[in-house]
Amino acid sequence: MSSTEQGTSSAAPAEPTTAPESAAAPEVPESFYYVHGKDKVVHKVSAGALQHSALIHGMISNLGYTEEQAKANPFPFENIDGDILQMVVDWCNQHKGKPTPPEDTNLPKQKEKLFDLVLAVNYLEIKELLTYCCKQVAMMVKGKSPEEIREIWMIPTDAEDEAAEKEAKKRAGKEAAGETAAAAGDAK
Amino acid sequence: MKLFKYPHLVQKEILDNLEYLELFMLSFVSKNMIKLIKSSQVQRFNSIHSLNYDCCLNVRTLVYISSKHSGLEKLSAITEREETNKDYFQLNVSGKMLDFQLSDEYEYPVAAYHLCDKEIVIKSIHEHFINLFGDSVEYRLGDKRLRDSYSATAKLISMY
Repeated sequence: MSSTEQGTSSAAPAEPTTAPESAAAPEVPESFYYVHGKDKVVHKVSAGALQHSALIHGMISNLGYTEEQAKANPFPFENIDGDILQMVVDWCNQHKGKPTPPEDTNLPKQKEKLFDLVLAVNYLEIKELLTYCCKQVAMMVKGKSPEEIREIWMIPTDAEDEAAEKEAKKRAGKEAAGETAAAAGDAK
Repeated sequence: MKLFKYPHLVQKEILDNLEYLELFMLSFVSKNMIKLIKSSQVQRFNSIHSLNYDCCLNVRTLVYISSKHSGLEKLSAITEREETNKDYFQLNVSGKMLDFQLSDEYEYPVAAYHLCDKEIVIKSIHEHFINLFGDSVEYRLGDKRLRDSYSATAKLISMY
């Protein structure tokens, strides 16, 4: 399992970072947690950065891990691609302890990446980033005709929807018939 | 990017970022899309005071929405078809194929009619609005000239 160090300089990965706004406050060592996606690459992220994610924040609050336990047990997000998790981690680090700006221009421009990012961000419950992403998805169809919108958002036509519905009904009917037959077999 | 693969809350958040005129264009994509728009935009549509048809420079009908959500917002225009213009695309509006245009000149979609179809076109569009925004919205013909020229439609609109 490889590991990337996020949110800290690579020269001193385990040292707590000192945020400028906390310079006057007494030094409190920052705690770090570890997450990995489908590619198993482990990202080290500060608790401050992870506060953006309501899901991870809740997990941290409930688990009460020490730093060693956290290192030994990275949070697994097997449903999120490695590059997408990297984007999320980068965003959380960039916006750690800062008020989020009204616009975010650093979101991916490619449709499929943005689609995966929206799903990941929704799963991780990162509200501000989800708002930016949804705005960007909406921007894609501004000034477009219905056919162009269909193409961009891959919306099936009515005929395709009807065919899919028929197929689903047929499948459900077959499954129900299979279950009935199996139950009758068990009864014998 | 498949919009219908997203959870409903995400779909809602995306549609919340669209203006009325974009929702109007989106409503022609499919029946399921109309269902999604209606189910996700209940609150916004409840804030509509009225949908107004107004005469603009005596040559086009301008349709705009007055709402608590965004004040006055242009929705569409309905005008006579320019035969030299080739940029029309067709949409099925309440069972009738109508010509539409999106251009940089106007920031809203423009429906075009042949003079002989004028009333049918506005009637079809009006029926589409009722299907999309509901019959509890107040539909107004703001101009006497319009009331005269769209006599049958005026009756239809006065029913709501």
